[in-house]
Amino acid sequence: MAVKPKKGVGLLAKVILFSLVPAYFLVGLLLYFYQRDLKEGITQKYIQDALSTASMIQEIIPNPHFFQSPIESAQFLEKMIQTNPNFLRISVYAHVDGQVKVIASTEPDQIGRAGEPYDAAPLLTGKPVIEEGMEGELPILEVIAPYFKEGRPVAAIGIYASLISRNVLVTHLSKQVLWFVLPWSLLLLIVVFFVVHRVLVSPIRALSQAADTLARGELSHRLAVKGGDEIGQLTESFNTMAGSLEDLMSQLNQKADEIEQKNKELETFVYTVSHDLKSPVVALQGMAGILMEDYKDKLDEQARHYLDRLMANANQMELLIGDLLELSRIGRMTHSPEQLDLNPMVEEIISRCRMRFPQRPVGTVILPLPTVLADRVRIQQVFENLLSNAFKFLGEHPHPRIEVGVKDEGEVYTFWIGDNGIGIDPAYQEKVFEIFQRLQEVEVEGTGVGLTIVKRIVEGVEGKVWVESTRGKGATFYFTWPKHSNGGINESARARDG
Amino acid sequence: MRAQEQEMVRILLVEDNPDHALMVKRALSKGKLVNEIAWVKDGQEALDYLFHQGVYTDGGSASTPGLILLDLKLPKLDGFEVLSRMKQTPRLKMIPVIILTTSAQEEEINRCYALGANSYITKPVQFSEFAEKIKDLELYWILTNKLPII
Repeated sequence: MAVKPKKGVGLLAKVILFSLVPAYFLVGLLLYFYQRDLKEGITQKYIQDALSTASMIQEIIPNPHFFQSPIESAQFLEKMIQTNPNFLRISVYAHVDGQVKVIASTEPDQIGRAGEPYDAAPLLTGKPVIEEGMEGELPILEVIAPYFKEGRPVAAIGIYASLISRNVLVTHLSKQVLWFVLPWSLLLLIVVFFVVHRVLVSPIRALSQAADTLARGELSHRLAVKGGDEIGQLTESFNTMAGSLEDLMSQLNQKADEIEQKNKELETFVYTVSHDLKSPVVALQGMAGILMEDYKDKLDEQARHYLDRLMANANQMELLIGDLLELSRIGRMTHSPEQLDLNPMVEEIISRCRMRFPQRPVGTVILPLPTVLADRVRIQQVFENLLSNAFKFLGEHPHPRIEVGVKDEGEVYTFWIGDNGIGIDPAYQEKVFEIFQRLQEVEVEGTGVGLTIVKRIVEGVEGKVWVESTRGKGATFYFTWPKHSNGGINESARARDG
Repeated sequence: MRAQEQEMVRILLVEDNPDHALMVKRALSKGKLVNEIAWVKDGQEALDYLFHQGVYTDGGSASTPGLILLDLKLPKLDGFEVLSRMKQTPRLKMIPVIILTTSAQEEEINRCYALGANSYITKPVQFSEFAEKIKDLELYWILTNKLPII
């Protein structure tokens, strides 16, 4: 199974976040500038109107004190004010009694009122002043232009315009733009959502699922390539990879079949050779036996010793060949597994071992053993080899003891056969399972094949075998046996199915 | 009386290895129960002997044995083949057969028993082993010997 990544922000959300948020920010920024420029444009228009009105006044009246009465000035300025409907008032400022005061206005009640400092500024600098401010609740624009006489500013013409209509217009237009943009952007959002989903998310999900399928071992799985974009390229790469994997796998399987074939040939070879080797060994044993039987009295001590050695070696060779035959049979021969009560089996093996090694009484403890599904011959060989090993390597312990036990570990049983004998040096604990490995320090019969047979049988049912030992304190051999064992069905057949 | 009958028994030894044959003959010679051993060296010769064919066409030279000692690995025809052929023949199927084997493998032995073998001996052979096996077959023998010898 593919490992599911931690649930984070999805690709879709990321694309929307990284593409639409800046887009909206941009739209917002444009809207802001649009609004500002609009405002600026209208204001400039007001200023232009005000300045041209001021220069018209300059041209028409010869001096600021030209008007005879406030009414007259109001009538004149009322005409001037009509250049722009947003103009509220025109006032003329001049020095009166050392103070800057209104001397003429569209509103006669303003006359005589003192001006603000900025109203007086053009009188000093000769430059117009433009101010935006509030008059009560009303937003206004003030343009105060200097009035020149003989090149000197002698008065100032202040024109006051209402900014309400400007502000209303800007707000109205902005709102209109916004109401236009909003539904379209919503539509855009939906479109982007579906396009991203179709173009990015779906193909990537399909790829991810395909990778899972591949990981499960369905190597023939391929994806349809759509388009030549990066996703298409990725899909193509994926297909290429799957193809390579499939090729490699089939090569591997072919190699495995070849190896299996070679292995079978080798086993058959070992079997045939061992079988044929047995014939001359049997003749050797037989003839040596006859010699010993018929000519015992005619041979001297030395000759009898040589003959003894001859027979011992012939016997050893027979054992070796027998074990080799047995080893080659594990892969070739299988019996159907059956439910076996191990208690009588182990007891029988132990009593056989006692007969084989009658020199010393050995204390044995057999804990209650389960009934397991196993090939009778094979599991018997496992216990037989491990137990006879335990008996063989008891050494000189005054109270030799052998214990057989089991631990239920759910899927498997772990059996152990422990002794308090000579033990095995840690350096050799792996090696004891190798073929023909014998620890030379002890003189005991054996061929060095027994533990190899155990290992092959146990591994044949996907169990494990190992040894724990301290030198001089004994050794405990462990092996696991699966509860649902197939009883030793051919390893290679299973390897291929798996 | 019975002892005399046993002494009359003719044994057919089917064994290709002369050394093994020598060992078998020697072991048998230690007993008092045998007076004649016919030795053939391969499966085909064994069948020729039993069916009076080939060099044994003249029936007189190959009287039907009372016991067959049969090796399994033989040239031409192996022991299994010989065993199955003779057990299919009514005249021969009552003859007890002791299998001689070097391997004592379970499946081989089971196959022999399934084909009708009476017993087996693992080589190298000892006389004591023979004595025991033949004693086991004694009852069987008495019965077969009552049949007319053809």
